[in-house]
Amino acid sequence: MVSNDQGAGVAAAASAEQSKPFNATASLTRLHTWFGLTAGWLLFVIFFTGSLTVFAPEITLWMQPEVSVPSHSELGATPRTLQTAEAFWADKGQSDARAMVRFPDTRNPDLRISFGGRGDIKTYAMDPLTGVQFEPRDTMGAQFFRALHYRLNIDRRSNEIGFWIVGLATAMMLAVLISGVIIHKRIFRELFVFRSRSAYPRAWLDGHTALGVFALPFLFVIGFTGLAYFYFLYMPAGVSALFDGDQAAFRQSMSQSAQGGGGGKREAGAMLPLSTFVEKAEAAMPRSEMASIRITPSKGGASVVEVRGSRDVGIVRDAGRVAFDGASGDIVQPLAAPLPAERLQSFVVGLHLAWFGGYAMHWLYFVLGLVGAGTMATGLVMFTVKRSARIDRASRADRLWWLAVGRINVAVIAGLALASISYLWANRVLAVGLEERAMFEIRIFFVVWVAALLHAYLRGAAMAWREQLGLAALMACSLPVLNWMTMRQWAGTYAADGDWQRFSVELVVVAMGVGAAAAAIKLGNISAAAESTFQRRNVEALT
Amino acid sequence: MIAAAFCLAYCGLSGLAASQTHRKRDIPHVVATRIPSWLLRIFGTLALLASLWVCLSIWPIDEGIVAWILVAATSGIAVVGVLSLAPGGFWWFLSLAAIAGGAALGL
Repeated sequence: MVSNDQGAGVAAAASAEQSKPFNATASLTRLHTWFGLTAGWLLFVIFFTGSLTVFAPEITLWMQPEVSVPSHSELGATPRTLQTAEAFWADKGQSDARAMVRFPDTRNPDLRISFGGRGDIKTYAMDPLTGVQFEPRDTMGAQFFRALHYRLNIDRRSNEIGFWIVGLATAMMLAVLISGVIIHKRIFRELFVFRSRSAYPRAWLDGHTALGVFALPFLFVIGFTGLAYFYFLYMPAGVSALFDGDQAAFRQSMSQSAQGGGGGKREAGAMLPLSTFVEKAEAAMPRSEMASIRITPSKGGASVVEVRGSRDVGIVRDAGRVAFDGASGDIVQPLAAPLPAERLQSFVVGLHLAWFGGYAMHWLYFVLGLVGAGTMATGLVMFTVKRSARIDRASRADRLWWLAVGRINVAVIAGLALASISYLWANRVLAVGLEERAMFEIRIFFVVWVAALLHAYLRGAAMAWREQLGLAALMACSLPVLNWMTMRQWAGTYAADGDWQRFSVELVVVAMGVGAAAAAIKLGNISAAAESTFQRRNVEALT
Repeated sequence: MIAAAFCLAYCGLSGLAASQTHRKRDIPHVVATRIPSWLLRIFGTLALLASLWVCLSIWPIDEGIVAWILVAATSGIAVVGVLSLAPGGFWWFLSLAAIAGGAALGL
């Protein structure tokens, strides 16, 4: 029961709180802290996996060691590559199924032909010159990181909750960025300040600010474009007005360009050689290299053949596509100039996906993506480090909450690193012929991640930082050894063969392992000090 | 060429950082330089503009500006890192090495 004195005290405190003048900086600091904490865990995952996704083709290539990189440089829809594709088509072509031919490019050295639609696709990978088929192991490769990045690997066909959670976290990030700029009053004067040797809260704050301020334009652009990418989900007014809210109908109308174009009845008949369509498409799109052909069977008529240009032609992806009647070769959907709104959307998407600027741009996106993840990580760690200094004044509930935050930090940051490297290890360790092999790789990723959470709970943050990051470092640094033991390949053989894509992947993994080792030492020491204070106080509170 | 842009941005931001060493409360952990602040600011700004020019000579204007922002951000983080690790002479040595490297690559 609350006594009168206590009731009066509470009322007086509430009155004093109300009489305080509104302090915008204090309010924004609270917003920065709590939005940063709640969205930060998710944003770390989004940024880390997004950075990996920048090099998705390279990572996937590493995860499919059966695909050999040809020594020649036969890229695009060259006559010899087309010849290989047509020979395969004559042998295995299916007139009643959707098909896609993807020509080799600088990042994907093999020729790929796939049949089937969503959920049931059979893909053949082959040498673009000899036609020798590769049999790559069943893996999602870096597509898994991509799915985790933008929809938390939740199947989009079952529901769209993954998109919404990522979108909410991104919107919160934009609020955190703006509030961070406002509350940091000496932002330009302290632009170069990073006192790494200072006491811990100061060093972490400096590090968090330095990373965040320099990466600010990138973080803002990447967050905004990430939201604008899925405008039809987050701002569904247009879809509601035009399609009565039917997202499926909207998506169908967006993707049915080839089938729907042209009008007029098309006569059934044997499909012309693929080279015919490529030649016509090259004439229609002289500025673009041909990247792929999509073949869509239509009811009662000949197939529609859609030739698409290369994506790497600038921020705005106006490489274009031309659709032909498969039997007659007539254009059924000519290359149309995109509408201004389409160009704007294309600009936004191009800016987010970095399909421009070549490898230099990809490296910049990769590094700054990791810097973004580092900003989130330093902010999360700072939350507990700062609070360890005022543990004496905190309630028991607060102390328990801070302990929990410290452990969740370990599970999210170190656990994700450990799960990611485990995913690469699983790719080499699991038997190639295993049923549902790709799913097993993903299961291993999530099992390791959940185990990391349990481990952090049981061991405490200090030990968990050391052990999880230490193990991740060990696994990353020994990945070339595992690769050699299982595949007789490693960075040295890749360099000798001129396979610089796989070489870079392995080198970056090892470099990240070294970084994880350094972080294990640093974070372990900090958390040991913070955790011992927390635990000492909790024991006192319990006794 | 992208390396030249990076080196120039690194030099420019080093110059701007050095111009802040006269007031101890701005970058308290860094050894002060005797070069006047205004000179360092002009040098820094020119080096950053040169870095932008290099980016625009590699890419079209839209891609070039995006690339320059990313290059400046990356080199800025590098400057901050070097400043924290070596606030004394080594930092100046690295900046001079970056100038030489940028000039060599640019040529």
